[in-house]
Amino acid sequence: MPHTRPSSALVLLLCVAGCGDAPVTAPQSPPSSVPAPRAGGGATRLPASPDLVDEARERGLDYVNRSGEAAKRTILEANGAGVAVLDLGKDGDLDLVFAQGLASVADAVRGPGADVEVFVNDGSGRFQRARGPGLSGWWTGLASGDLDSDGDEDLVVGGFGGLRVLLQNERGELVPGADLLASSPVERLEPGKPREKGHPPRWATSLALFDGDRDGKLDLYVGNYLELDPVSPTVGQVGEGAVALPCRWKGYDVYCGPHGLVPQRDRIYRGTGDGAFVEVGDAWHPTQIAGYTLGVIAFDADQDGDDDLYVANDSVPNNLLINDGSGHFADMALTAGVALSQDGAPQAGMGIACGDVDRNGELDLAVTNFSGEPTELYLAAERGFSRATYRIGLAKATKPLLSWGTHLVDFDGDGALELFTANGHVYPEADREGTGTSYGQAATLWHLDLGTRLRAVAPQSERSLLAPKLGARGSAIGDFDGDLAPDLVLARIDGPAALGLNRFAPDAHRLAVRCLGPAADEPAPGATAARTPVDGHGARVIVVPKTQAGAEHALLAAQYTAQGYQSASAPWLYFGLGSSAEYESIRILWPSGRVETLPAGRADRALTIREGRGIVAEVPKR
Amino acid sequence: MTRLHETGRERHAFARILCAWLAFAGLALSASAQLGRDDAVAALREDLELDRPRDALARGKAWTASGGAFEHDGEVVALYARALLATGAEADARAVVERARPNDATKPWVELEAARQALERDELDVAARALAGANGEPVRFPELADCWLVRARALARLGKTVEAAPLFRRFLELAPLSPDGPSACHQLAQAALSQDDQENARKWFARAEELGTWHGFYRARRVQIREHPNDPLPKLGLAQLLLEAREYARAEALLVALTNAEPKFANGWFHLGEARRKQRDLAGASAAYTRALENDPEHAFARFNRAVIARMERRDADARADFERIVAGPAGEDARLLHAHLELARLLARAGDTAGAEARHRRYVELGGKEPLAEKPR
Repeated sequence: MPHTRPSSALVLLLCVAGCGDAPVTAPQSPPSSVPAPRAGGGATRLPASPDLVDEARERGLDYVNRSGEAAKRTILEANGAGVAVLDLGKDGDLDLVFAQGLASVADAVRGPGADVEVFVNDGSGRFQRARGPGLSGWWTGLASGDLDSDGDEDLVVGGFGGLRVLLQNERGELVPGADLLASSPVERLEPGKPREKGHPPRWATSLALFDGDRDGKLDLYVGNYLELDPVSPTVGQVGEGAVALPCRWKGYDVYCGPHGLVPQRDRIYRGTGDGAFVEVGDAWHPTQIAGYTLGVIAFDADQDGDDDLYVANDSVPNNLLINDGSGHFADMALTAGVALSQDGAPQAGMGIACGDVDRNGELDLAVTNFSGEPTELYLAAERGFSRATYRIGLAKATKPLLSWGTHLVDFDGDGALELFTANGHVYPEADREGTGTSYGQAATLWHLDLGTRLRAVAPQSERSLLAPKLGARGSAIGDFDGDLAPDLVLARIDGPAALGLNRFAPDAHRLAVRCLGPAADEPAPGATAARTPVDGHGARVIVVPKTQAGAEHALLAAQYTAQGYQSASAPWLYFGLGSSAEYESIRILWPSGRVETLPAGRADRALTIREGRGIVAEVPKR
Repeated sequence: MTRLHETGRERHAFARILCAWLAFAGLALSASAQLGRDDAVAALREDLELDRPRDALARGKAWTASGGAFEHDGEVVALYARALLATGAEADARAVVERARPNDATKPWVELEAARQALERDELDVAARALAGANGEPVRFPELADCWLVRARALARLGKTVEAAPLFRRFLELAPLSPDGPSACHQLAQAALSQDDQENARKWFARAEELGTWHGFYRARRVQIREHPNDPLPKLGLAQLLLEAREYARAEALLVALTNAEPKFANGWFHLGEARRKQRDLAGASAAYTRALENDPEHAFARFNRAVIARMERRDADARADFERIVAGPAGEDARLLHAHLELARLLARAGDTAGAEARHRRYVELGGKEPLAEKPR
């Protein structure tokens, strides 16, 4: 990587001094759309224990994933679904939308197709199923953000033969918008309509919203996987005759792919700010090589103020797409040290998380992989990234796991990030003798202390989200019950979703921050042409907790919803302040280039900050 | 393909791979197999490389049991332990290494395996220390290529990429065709990058990719041979890979076995000719091309190469007959055989047929040839 990063000490110094920053607006009263806790109607709160307690059932979350048949004869059936956390209805609480598949690959042709499934939060963390947008398909990944610049969150949902914009209307409903495969009908799959052999649909996996050209309008990166013909899927072997290769893993016959099947190129769309998109992949990333994409996130890798992208590919090298500031990307993954394994082998990249693990003011990466491969932890370094995977024992801990969704989040509120991974093997044959792994795998959470080996968080009861040895795929973060502690929703494969309510350290002080750009009809407050998206996508926030010793450390987080695998987390940033009941300062690096510093304040609040106007809403911890 | 230097060790390794195929095809998992120790080692390595750890487990268990044929062979024990690890039996793998009673000659393999296991447990310092040589020597068992590799990996994972680099280099010298070769090249690229040596980084990245591609095909061919042991195509593909890697003697050994089993397989004979020609065995090559042509008279490449050899040996009539047949048929339009026209033109000129020679040379130029009719003095 050509860019040199500022040191952590410098970040902290700037943060405390706040020199040259824009003026700050005084906090305003909380918005009226935030409902009061429901009297008597909310779910019963379970006793606190340091755990993620699965309360999906009692909170009304009855989503059950369908992902083909149990035998998993095709790769389509193994990859499962994602979930999005967003606010429907602008009522201040977080709602859920799940992608959904079908009971078999044959159903993808025969129909009927599946809709995405919507669950609305009543404000207390209890969910009720709501009417979906009426889609028909096999849905996989979701991305959330304000696509039409109207101040609410919308979705893009991708799937096997589908890629659709869903715009939120004034009633908080998701309404189908642009069909991004409309111009390419051969790549669409419409369950129930006659389909001939030999036309594999386009298969979207993870999606990420970002602002490539810094115009304040969200753009879209669509990770695509491979060509699978639903009418006549490849089964048993790839190739023909004597040079055919059996689809086999550790001596067992398994489904075919990705090797031997044709990878599909990813797509990049420029957003027009009104819910429409124009494909620009050839112009923005002309040197792209198709590569079985499963995961993608946006983040500012080189700290130059624009959105870069990291793409996790299955069995081929990963990509780190560095933006030149105008939306033109070049892959720097190999020289940045994030393309391949330590030993130079491509890995089966699945999910990606970013966060400042070592608190040096730079965003680090976690990347999940196949069994036998470690979940990687890459720390941002002077040049590219350095691998911490082996030094902290993460390789030993994760090699038996096949991991998908992942997050670097401070669950216990102590200011240090934990690493979460959703796990589960793709092959039912993993349960047979001598594989060294298993089909069902418990989700895992680790404390990361870079000076020593990582420590696993043990589930405290059988109700822990970390206890059941089931298969999970997508996962997303959000505070569903208003206590400012990040909770976690898990989209399991072929089974019910889990809703892990955060019961770690209830006494820890916390801060939730949501950034918003100027409204679409407001002039940009910055001096440059760059503009912050209306929903604040890409804003970086540095919180300095106030401790007895003064300002000891700074906490960095960036507002990107695409995290993990095929999923979108809430646009809120969750900071753990430990024993600090106050923060010394909050500094926001807006995508427009503007930098603002807010003065000291009390913790245990959810703050909404709008560029140029400071804190516009402040809601205390429930 | 980057040149892969042949060493005695590698020749030996290939012979062992051949033995492993025989072991697989003929003896499968028979615990009572009367294999030599090199064959046993080759069979276990093949199982592990082809992701068949349970096969390695079955073989290794019988061979290393009390009273087993290789109970005291450290290398066999180490590979059995690796098979255990690959099947998830980590504690058993550790116990096998700890309880092993290898003979002195093979004891280093067991100690190497113990270090490898430490590396797998992310005990990087333990692994690096265990394989450090005495008196400042880089490694403890310098005769074992894998010792250089494992210690280098431990150092690299500790972030000591520059310190690890010479060890990776030595590993590549000792085992250029190891499946871990691409990994070593990648590590050398990383070390170069860490020193801002972009040129060498690019070189090593390119070599890692090249070798990785080659190994991908090499592995695929071996899997195909296991799946279709009686089909000549995968074996021919493997031989072609060896030719590409300039491993001519190994390719020849494989092709001799192949053509013995499939005497009517023209392409097998042609490639046997190639393997011999590359080793300057022109008579042997010519004989193999002739066998190819007996089975497929339209095999233009065999005919061309036989003609070239005939011309080199000044058997002009033989050469001319073959070149004339090539240019008269559809192969005469094949750009890859353009030189048949030129060679024939020069033969005609040498025989005094100036008009014929010029006509043939004109055809050569029409097809895109650039060389003059007159031969450069040798």
